[in-house]
Amino acid sequence: MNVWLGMPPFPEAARQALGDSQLRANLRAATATIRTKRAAVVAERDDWEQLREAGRAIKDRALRDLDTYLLQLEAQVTDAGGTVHWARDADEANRIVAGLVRAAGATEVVKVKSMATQEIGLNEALAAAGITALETDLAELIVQLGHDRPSHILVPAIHRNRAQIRELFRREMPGVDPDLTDDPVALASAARAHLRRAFLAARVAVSGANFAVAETGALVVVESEGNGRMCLTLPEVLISVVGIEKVIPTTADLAVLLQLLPRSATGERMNPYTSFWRGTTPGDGPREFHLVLLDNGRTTALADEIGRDALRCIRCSACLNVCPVYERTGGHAYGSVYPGPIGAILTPQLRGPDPVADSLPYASTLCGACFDACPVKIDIPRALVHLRGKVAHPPGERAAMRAAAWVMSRPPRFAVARLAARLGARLARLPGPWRRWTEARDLPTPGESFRDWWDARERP
Amino acid sequence: MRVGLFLTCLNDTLFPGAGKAVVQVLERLGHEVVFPPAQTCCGQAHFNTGYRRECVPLARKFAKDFAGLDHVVSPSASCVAMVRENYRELVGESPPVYEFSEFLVDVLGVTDVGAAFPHRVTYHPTCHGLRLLDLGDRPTALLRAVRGLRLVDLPDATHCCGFGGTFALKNADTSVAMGTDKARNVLGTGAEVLAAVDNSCLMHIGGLLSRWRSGTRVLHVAEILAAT
Amino acid sequence: MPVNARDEVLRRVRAAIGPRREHVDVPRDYRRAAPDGTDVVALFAERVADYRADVRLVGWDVAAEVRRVVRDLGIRSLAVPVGFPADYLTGLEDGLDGVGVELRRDDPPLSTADLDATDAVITECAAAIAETGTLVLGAAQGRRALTLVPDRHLCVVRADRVVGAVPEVPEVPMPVTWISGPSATSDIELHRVEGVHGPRTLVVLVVTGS
Repeated sequence: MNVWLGMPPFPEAARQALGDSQLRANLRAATATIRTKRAAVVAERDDWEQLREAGRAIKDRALRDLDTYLLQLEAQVTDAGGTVHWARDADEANRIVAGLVRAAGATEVVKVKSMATQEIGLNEALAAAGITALETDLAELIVQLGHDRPSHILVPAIHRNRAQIRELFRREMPGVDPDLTDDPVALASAARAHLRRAFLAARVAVSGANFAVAETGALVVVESEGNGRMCLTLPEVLISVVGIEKVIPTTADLAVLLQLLPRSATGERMNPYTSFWRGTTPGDGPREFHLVLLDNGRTTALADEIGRDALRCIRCSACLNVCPVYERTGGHAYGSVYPGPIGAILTPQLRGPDPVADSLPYASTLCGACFDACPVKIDIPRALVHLRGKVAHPPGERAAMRAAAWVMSRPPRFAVARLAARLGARLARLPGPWRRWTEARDLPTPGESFRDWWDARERP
Repeated sequence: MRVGLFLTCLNDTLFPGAGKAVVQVLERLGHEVVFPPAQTCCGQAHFNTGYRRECVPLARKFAKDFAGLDHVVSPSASCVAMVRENYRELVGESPPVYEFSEFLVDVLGVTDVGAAFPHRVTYHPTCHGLRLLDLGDRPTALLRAVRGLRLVDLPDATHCCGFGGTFALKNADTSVAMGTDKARNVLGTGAEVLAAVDNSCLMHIGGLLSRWRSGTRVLHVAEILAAT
Repeated sequence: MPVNARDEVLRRVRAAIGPRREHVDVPRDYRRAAPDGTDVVALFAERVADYRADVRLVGWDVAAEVRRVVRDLGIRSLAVPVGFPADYLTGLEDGLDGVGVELRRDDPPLSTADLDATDAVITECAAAIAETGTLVLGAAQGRRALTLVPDRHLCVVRADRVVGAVPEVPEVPMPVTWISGPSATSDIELHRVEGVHGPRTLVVLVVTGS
């Protein structure tokens, strides 16, 4: 998985982000907007809970028989003139895509926003192979022009406000109107003009997919701007990199997920454009279609009976938008293309242990807002706690936790500890790990202990 | 009714008022309170920090300490949630524990416990009470029935305060940033008292309010219900 | 490599699932149709207008309304897919109602450059979804590029094609495109603004008469 080199573990990265008041203002405004919109369109559906339950079951069913559905999908796509490739890991997927682009004789590709290709670091791999990848989603374009990193699954440039985007466009977009205003309509128009030539000239496009329907071989891309349609329709060759967990059994299942996703993601009843295609169609769209099915750690997650719930994720970002931690720290602090609560359970599983990944399951207060918002009912707090049990614990913490359990196992030991803690609470500054508490917070000064009071009243 | 009191290690150590208040309210309503003195800790901090194995003996001990009691009540929503949500999976049994406001409203069927507290109060629904126990409007129904009490709405009430157990230490900066927003909202209500059903969250928010010398106090809901 | 990727991924999948595969039931007690008594045509018109589409209700004279739209928007050239009903285009080329527009039929297929230089496209839809204000276009409504490259899209929606809810959409031969309003983005501060790469103007003519 694409590791953002040089990122510190979450607590330190979060500390740095918390110091950026502009970032916090941008995030607070944007997440508050989207929370309100989502709440309104979810409230319209009196069967929302039934839809969520169906969504959960559909994804569980797909994962339970994943091999069967993948083979069915492969057969359908092949039958419709597509070619299916399999990739065990990021390197293999990148090699396949670069090889296909080279075989098409192209040195530039247009891209639809895709989490899978970010996860495998495809753009960097293509660049190393002498191929330029042009991101066409507005937010991805903002990130790419700013030599920046995405900070949100759905709205990768959520950390930037309109004034910052205008400055970026004026600086980085060739031929842009120097009097460009920060009106979002004007900014969107500038992006339209900037990318128009690329769309009309592109020979190869790379996409991901939101869903792949085993029954029909349909690939589905959900989007808003029309950049997706441009990439899926105009070039001669289309390459879609799709995680194996994106397969769902039937068209009826798709109808459920297409109702859950837009309401949870952008707070709309339906997103502006959804494209469904099956292999190739003579006279309409690309001549060649390649589907790259990607594992890259997904089967490791699938083998974990609790961790596998993360594979139900449909990348709506509702959990990010309601997360009080994400709202304060932003996405970069998570050190991964998957930020927020879902990233905190997905990244450690896809990437395996390292100091950043090991810190992510702790990047949560377990408040549960993410679980309530999740359209496929991923119990993120439960998975976080489960993963906390699997990561490497600092030796000092492990010793302290064992000592605490030892103390709590015998009432007399607890009595001594209680006394010590009550005395300790009188200190203005606590020692050791407790230091972090008293840096900003006082401790209570308890009066007569409950037990003294209880004993005194029982034996007056 | 004979009711066992599960005090919790935090209240036992730092918040004696909550336990006293639970005893006073229940006795005022005519019930007998039993306090098993061997009780220590439910293991929530261990469990939620990823020390599941260390938690198992504590869960077994809990079941032993409270054996034979049909009703166990506690002034901590998160510890009740720990026992209710996780004990069955950990040790195969989950003793019948109730959060205090839940016990009063659902089991005893009372909302007016005969309290008087002539102050302006705002209420923070703590996350585990709100989302794991679904306490809903039980605590506020109890507070509204208190004579003289003026309950004022807390903006963004359902947003987490940032305590999060060991999160408060492991991610202290983020924890304090969240707590700061919560405490500012509390101060914005002009309330004299912030009430909640979990002293862990109140220790965090109250720790900030105290450091700021704000004059706003934090109290467990039980302490308000015990006031006459 | 000793084992090919396909076999290796499938082996890993099977190992991860394990030998015991518990049956998963999908509960289908969510709403499969709009509530009884819903005026689906009126709801569709309202919901598609929410996306800031230009919605026009038409009694029976579709062609007259098409001419009005062409005049209102100043359309000089109009792409027409194969199979589009000729009745709806009456008078467009004859200068009726003072309209003079060049019809560009997609037969033989128009090049992408041609489409880029065409003011608008007119299509029908295979279905329309009332609850979500969505147009469903299938292979029978023309090539996908037609409704993508020109900056304005006029869509004629017959009342009998409107269904209540997403699960009611009939099977439509692929490729299929669902369109819910004009091209839009929420990428700047999560505020929705209309008009990015797809058509910036969407005109929906809802035919209520017979």
